[in-house]
Amino acid sequence: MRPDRSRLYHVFARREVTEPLRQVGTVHAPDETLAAVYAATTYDEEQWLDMRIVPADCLMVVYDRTHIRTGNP
Amino acid sequence: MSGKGCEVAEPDSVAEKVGLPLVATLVAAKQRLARHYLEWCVRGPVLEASTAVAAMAQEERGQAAVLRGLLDQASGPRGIALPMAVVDRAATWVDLIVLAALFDSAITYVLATVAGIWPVLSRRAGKILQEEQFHQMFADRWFVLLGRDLAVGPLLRQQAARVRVQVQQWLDQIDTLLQQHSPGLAAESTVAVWGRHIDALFAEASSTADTRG
Repeated sequence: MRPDRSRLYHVFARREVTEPLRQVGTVHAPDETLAAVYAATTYDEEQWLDMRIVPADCLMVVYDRTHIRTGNP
Repeated sequence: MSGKGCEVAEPDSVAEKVGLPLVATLVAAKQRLARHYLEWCVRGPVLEASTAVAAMAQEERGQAAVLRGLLDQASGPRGIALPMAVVDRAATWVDLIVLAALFDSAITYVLATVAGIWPVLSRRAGKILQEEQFHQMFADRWFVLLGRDLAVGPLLRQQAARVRVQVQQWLDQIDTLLQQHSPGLAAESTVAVWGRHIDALFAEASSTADTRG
């Protein structure tokens, strides 16, 4: 019964208008509606002013130096 | 009815004569629904779903407590009996999603209707209706996901059809009560509005699966 086409979403939130949105975590969900529900119910420890989600595969790479840290080519 | 606080309702008006038994009905419905969610809060098919169900259980319990504050516990009115399909244990995830999609939404439609005629309730209903938006999003999306699943889709539709008949009868009783005390209350009955929502949900769950995600 596990949805097959689950996608990773980054969750961003802030407490004040003057704060930047910051990443508070991630959720896996088969679509954006469930991702929104999962984000709201998983990261509800704070009284957030607003919360946003973005599919992880929609983030564009500016540069990627992880191989330097990990040692992988 | 004496007040335990300034917001315990006095059954003077027509709205309160119908409102109090309906609030008693909603309290019982939300308590039962909270129990169903509680039983599934560590048994969902994915961690995120279990977390969502745990939050929904807490919210249903909180909402029941808020609504119960309107009732005089000593001589509180009896509500309309819950459908058997709602009283029965939700043995599978499909059972739970059917209850969430059909019954949780029905409760919300009733609450919105009664809040529209009873200012005391409308003051308490705002936050509840806001929380219920997420419940409905969760239930509807899972209903569609399962409905489109080749393995469990037929079972879900069969179970949903069975529960739908019972919830519809329950809503008919509520509409009758509303019409007895407030004829011409709403242009449309609660059961008609709810029925349209469920028709759309059934259609979406029966349509070809999309390819998103």
